[in-house]
Amino acid sequence: MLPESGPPCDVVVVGSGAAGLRAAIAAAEAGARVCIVTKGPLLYSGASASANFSYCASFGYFGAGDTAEAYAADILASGHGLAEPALALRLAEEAGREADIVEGWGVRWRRDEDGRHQLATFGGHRFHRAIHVGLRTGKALMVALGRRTQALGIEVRDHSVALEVLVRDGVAAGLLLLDLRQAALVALPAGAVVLATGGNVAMYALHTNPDELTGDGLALAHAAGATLIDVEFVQSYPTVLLSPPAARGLHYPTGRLLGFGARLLNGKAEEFFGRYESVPIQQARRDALSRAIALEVAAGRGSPRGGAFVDASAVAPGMLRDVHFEGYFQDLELDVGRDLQEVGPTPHFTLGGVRIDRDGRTDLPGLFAVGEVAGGLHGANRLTGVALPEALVFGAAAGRATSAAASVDRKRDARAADSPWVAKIATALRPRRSGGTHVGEAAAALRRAMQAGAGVLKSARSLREALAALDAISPALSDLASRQTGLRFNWELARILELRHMLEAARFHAVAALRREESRGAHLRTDHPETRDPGWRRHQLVQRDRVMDATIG
Amino acid sequence: MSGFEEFDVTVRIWRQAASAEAGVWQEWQVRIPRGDHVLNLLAAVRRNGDPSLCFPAHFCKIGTCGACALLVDGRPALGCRALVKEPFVEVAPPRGRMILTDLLAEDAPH
Repeated sequence: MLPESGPPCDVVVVGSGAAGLRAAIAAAEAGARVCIVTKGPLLYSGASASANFSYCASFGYFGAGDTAEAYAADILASGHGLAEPALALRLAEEAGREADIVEGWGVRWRRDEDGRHQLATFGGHRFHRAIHVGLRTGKALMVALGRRTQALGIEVRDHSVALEVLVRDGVAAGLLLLDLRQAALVALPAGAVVLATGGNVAMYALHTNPDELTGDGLALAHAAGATLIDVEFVQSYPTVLLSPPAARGLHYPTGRLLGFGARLLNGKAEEFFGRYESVPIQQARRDALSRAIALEVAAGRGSPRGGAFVDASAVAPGMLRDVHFEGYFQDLELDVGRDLQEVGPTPHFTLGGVRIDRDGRTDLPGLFAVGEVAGGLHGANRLTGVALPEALVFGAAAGRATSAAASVDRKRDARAADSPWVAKIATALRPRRSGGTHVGEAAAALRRAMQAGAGVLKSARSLREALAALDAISPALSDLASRQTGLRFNWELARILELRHMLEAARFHAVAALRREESRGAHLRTDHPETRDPGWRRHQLVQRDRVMDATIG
Repeated sequence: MSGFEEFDVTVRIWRQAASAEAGVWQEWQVRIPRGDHVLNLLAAVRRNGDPSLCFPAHFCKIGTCGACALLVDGRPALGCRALVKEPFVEVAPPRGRMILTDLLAEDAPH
């Protein structure tokens, strides 16, 4: 089966979360012919829709000190010395403007009678910066971006898995994808490619994200020759529900509940945060909360399932209603006001990613990366409320910048007949031997290995075990075959192909984490608990399978 | 799984290769934690029964996006919100939408 040629376009955007849609809109508004390629249906793909509450922007409500520079400084402090100043400043300067733009497209930020945004606060932010629409801010954002995307008539190729950024003469020239709806392997010629595929925390057995976030963009960028940065950093959400079964992996908004009077308890019903940190728990950043819980569990004082308990019995019922996900908790039969909830730190956000400049350019001409797939903005930890503005600010910047890349006179030669994916697909479609491993088992083995060895707490030993497990999975990949026939909605084939992406992302993470012999932000090594400044105050880059060091800025 | 009480569930699922083709009911037995939700039940079928089972794979996991709309025991429900507490459950695609494959339907109009 050889790839067929798709209709050429100026810009291909891979992914349809907030970053991808914002990039597509900006490029289309600049006059580009844009095609969005997305694994799922348009409005339901990616992690953006699950963003529960906040979008942090600096509007200067608090006087002379409340500036973009102050916001950027908070991002840099949160990043433990590794956040990139140029990226942080761009985010801080433009988050407010982007909030205004999407308001024009239908996002109804809550405002007081005098017109000022209603604001909430989170640990690590020196001013109140969190604007919101009540709950479901991410969903509101996605609906508005989706409407704008459709109003502009942007072409969408849904149910399609991206396989390879096609590179000709050292520049991105298109995308190879598997279109499950059209049952076709397609080479799309394009003047620029924007990766907006989200992170890769689906490489863990228990995580907060949609399971589709398998690191596709990270693997595609690396294979195309672009540089990755800070891939050892994956942020945990400190309080993810561990029980009951239907609620496992659901992030529990403890940060807000703590501000309303909830308490965090260990398995012996003792408050313990003060053992690890001097700041009041209400002001703690996510990395500090995760670290405290993980260390308390490691000390043998955890809850039965390896976490801690949140006691919200002292929180006013009106405040509790506010964090109930509109009835979801009731449907899951959680009574958060009455019962202790068992929670633990669980992978939530991929901090590192593809290295970019202020416009989302990677170091491969014509290739851009925006949103969670990109790295460098957050360094070693992410502030609450920065992910959504990151998606919009860098999505918009890259979308505008693509027009320059796409208009460069360039032969859009996107033939893909020699792509290694042609053989990989043929292998995965051959009749399967009975009794062999299937992709669900191989993916589960990868996820177990990463959870056990490269999760919240790491050591050289645990990481070596994880890497050995990944090495054992690797040869089995070419034995995997789909039990479905044909390409049409052949999800088992799609899972086999994206498992290759996920294995790459997992390996980069574990290798870089093993090499970083210290603890910093979200990176917690039990065998190296100290932060080693200035020695380790540097990035690790991955390029062509080699890891190397780089300075900040 | 992490010390939860498990039980055996018989699940009857509507299978249909495409909207123009005829559909059939198929049944599987799976063992899942009592009170898990329907999406995890379907994942267990795909893992241990038939890997080709197609159901909404892209969803928010917090009960808000609506992508996992299904018919559970004949009633409209979100797969992530409907809990499995009885030993028999029936799952069909949402009403009034074109079926792409099995339980996966075309998007509802936005």
